[in-house]
Amino acid sequence: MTAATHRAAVLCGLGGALPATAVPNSALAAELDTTDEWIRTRTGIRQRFVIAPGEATSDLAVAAGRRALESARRTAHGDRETRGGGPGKDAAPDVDLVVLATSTPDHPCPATAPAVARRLGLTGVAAFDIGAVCTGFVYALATAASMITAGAARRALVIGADTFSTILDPADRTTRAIFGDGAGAVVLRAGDQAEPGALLGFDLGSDGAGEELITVPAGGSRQRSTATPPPERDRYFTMQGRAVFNEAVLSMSKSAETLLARIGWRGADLDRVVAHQANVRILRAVADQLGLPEDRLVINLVRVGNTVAGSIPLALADAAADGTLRPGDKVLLTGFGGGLTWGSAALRWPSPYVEPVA
Amino acid sequence: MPTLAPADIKTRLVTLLSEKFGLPEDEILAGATFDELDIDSLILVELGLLVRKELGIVLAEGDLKSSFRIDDAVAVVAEKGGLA
Repeated sequence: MTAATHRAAVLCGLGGALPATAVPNSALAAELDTTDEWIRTRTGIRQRFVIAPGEATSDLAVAAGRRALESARRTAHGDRETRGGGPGKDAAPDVDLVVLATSTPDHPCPATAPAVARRLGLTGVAAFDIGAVCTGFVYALATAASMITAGAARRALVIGADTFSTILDPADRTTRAIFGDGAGAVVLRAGDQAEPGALLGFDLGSDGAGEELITVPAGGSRQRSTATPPPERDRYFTMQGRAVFNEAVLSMSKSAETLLARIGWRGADLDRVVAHQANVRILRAVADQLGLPEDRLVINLVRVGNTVAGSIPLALADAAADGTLRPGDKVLLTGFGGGLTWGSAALRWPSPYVEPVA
Repeated sequence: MPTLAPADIKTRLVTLLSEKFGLPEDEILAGATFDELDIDSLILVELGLLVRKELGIVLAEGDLKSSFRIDDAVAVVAEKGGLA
């Protein structure tokens, strides 16, 4: 074995999916005590998407997964142009692992990943969910990449998908403005660390002391063991906005710095930072902490809001499709979410064929 | 990190508030509270984070209050930085 061969997981496919219904700020202003101006100045968000009655997280996960598999197929065939027709029969060759990051599974039990795998023609593969809220995609990426480098999987479909519209308090003008539904997915294959797209390292962390900053109080064993119905508001997602803002900026910045030091990259060399799309002011504050100009930030929350586990892969898909991410770019992914949890990953951008996310 | 005098902290905070957030320097120095300056609720969090970056002093969310005048903020930053 030569020093040049280091087994690594390599990103080779990417896709995203959004529900059909967009909710502009004006629609929220018509229903709640808020305004387009208030939402834009506090969050940067202009619209978000919500699923239709009867739809579920798996529907978005399947759509994003299908596009990522198709992206992998076309990328492998060197097909950089848009062509008609649906995914080919070999859209999912060799995938032997599906990891789904979500905090809004189709059901409390079982995990959603096996159903997603089946609908993608992947019955039989290892399939499980990961819960780390807005950091879920980075955790899922680290898990799948580690299984590939350990030889426990050859090719993995990693999906981040959430439908927070189903757990938001309809009367909460703050969370209704911030969160949207969406999904993104990548395909990882076994390869070499020297290849473009190779995941070069991870930093993951958590602090359960902040458990109550981001939570759905009721519906789990803590409440259900009491055998008394919870107050209505405890059924909904709650977030302590200012404390979360502070922790999000500090955690993503520290995690990014830790990973950069570990892999020997300098912050100034980063071409793009794809941070969890929580709030444009959080993203700008992260850039300040890292000493980076704002134009290094990938920002797509303006049109999709905070899509939780879908956020980072959806931002990647938008940025790849519109040319913001260029082959060879040094890219850092960093996320923060409930738990509290945080995590970062780094790669040189490959050249995947990516469909625009409509 | 060189030792900062409260006067230095005040200069840095006023500069951050006026340059980063566009708040009127004369009103800050005249002793207006943050409430009176009509800031939104995130600016004090953002200011605290910039203090960490620029002065190396870590503030918790809520350490800077909207009822504060600039001198109150200087006192808290100096205390958290072990300078008071």
